[in-house]
Amino acid sequence: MATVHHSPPVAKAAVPATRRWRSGVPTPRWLVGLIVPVALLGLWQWLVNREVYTRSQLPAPNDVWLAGRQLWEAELLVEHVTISIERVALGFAWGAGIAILIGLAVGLSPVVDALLSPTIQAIRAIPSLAWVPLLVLWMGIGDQPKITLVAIGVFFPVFTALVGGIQQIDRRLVEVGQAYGLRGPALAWHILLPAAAPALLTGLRIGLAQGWLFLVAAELIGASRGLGFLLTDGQNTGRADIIVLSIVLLALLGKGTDVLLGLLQRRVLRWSDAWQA
Amino acid sequence: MTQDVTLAQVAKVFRRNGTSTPVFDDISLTVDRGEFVAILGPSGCGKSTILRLIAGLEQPTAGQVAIGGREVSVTDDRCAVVFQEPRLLPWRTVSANVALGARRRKGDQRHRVRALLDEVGLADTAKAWPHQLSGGMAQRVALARGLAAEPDVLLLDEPFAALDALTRLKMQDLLLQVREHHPQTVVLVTHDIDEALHLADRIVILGDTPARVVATHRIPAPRPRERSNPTIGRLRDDILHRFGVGVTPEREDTDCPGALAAD
Ligand SMILES: Nc1ncnc2c1ncn2[C@@H]1O[C@H](COP(=O)(O)OP(=O)(O)OP(=O)(O)O)[C@@H](O)[C@H]1O
Ligand SMILES: [Mg+2]
Repeated sequence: MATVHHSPPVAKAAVPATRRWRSGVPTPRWLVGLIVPVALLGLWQWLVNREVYTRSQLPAPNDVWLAGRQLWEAELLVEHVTISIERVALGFAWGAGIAILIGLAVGLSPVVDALLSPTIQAIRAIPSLAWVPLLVLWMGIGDQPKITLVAIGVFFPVFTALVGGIQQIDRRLVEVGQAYGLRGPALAWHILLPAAAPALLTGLRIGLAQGWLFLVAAELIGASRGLGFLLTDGQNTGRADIIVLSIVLLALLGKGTDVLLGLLQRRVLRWSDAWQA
Repeated sequence: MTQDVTLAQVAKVFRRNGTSTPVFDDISLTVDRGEFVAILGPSGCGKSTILRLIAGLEQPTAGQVAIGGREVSVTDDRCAVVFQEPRLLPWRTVSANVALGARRRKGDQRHRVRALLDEVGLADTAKAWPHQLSGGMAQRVALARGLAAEPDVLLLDEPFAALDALTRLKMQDLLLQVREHHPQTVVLVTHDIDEALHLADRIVILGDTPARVVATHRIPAPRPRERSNPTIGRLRDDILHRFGVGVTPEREDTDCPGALAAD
């Protein structure tokens, strides 16, 4: 037996959730991330106290909190939030799913690339609001046009990132797959997709953010529920507290869902040897 | 012996933004089934290109490359390659990388992977990611991946280059030992003359530009060979002489028992 001395086991690389800053005090990352929001909150309260704007232009943080509680007690807050999350989730699933399929086809086949890419680039330039009347015309004012619009918003970043990721794949790793007999779908699954995964995950995160943007565009028109509706409703009834409440909720939901994708990204790319500052 | 790998009048020209680099203009080489051929030659002469041609990863500009009389293609099932760089898939753990080699083998793959990792001395790093390995460790994983495939034709491109002297000898023995169970055809590229002499049935020396076979030496000693075998020692001097190293003038005319052809 040609057994060589055993090399020592390699320690698992850990991404530090806590790091020592120069002061030497260990601080969790999320705590550092809270500094700016808290400062903004302080600035907001300060502007209100100085009465730079009237109360109906800029409500106090507490007004917004109260508006939120009122909606909660009327059992409307959960409903608005849930329906918006639902639309984004469905639109994201559809948009990302289709983007991955078409992105794979475009990335893997020069023919499909030449055929579809110019059109896709052109459609991409259409602003979100321009879609709304058309979608309403086609699909009415139910959930379907809203989910479709979100899907359109999600599609482009995911598609672009995936195609770019596939075009950046290291030829030498593809050769490894080929040299060990992988071809067709097996090559795509074992080599191309994992190699493009970093780009794809970045695309998914940008796509999700864009999905929330497009959701508001969808709900601004012809909606009776959802955060976009709440926003227009606040505008129509002159309730600045409702407007700010909707904005804060959209920001929180956008951030929250991005955190979830970020966790997925960390998990999928745990092999990554990317540079960390 | 039946012919296994054949390169017939192969030319290979790389074209790159206007300039063309001819690597070979006419090279022919046959390797018999079950034969172990080592290829020696100066850096950049086209050794890796020969392996890539046999693996089907490179198309010849002219001529044919075949295994068992059938022309090779990309994703050829009949050979496995251990590349000059380890080329481990970074998203697979060490053992999953070796498992890629064992993919097409029947039987207990997991057991095979574990046994091979043990034999290359990396049993404890089975769950590590490739970026956590040293250069030599990565190269041993790549070797294990190639051995796991047990192909008809095993193509090895300087597979021991990054290893310390002792580990290198052990890996050479491992290769011979695996071949005892599964007598595959091997084409090994190396810069180490002793390695070629210890392992191969035949040594092919490439040279010139565009490259051609400048000499072929059959090694008459049966394996396993003593590393101090005197026949091999004489052959070694002869080959070194061909490279213009370390031979005194009076030894120059000594004929070499292993020299077959030197065109
Ligand atoms: N893809 C390519 N495009 C252009 N030229 C190439 C390409 N691959 C190899 N070459 C050229 O072909 C020649 C032979 O390369 P090859 O890698 O086969 O050399 P080698 O004998 O393996 O060298 P070494 O011992 O340094 O590994 C070199 O001159 C190299 O520049
Ligand atoms: Mg080489």
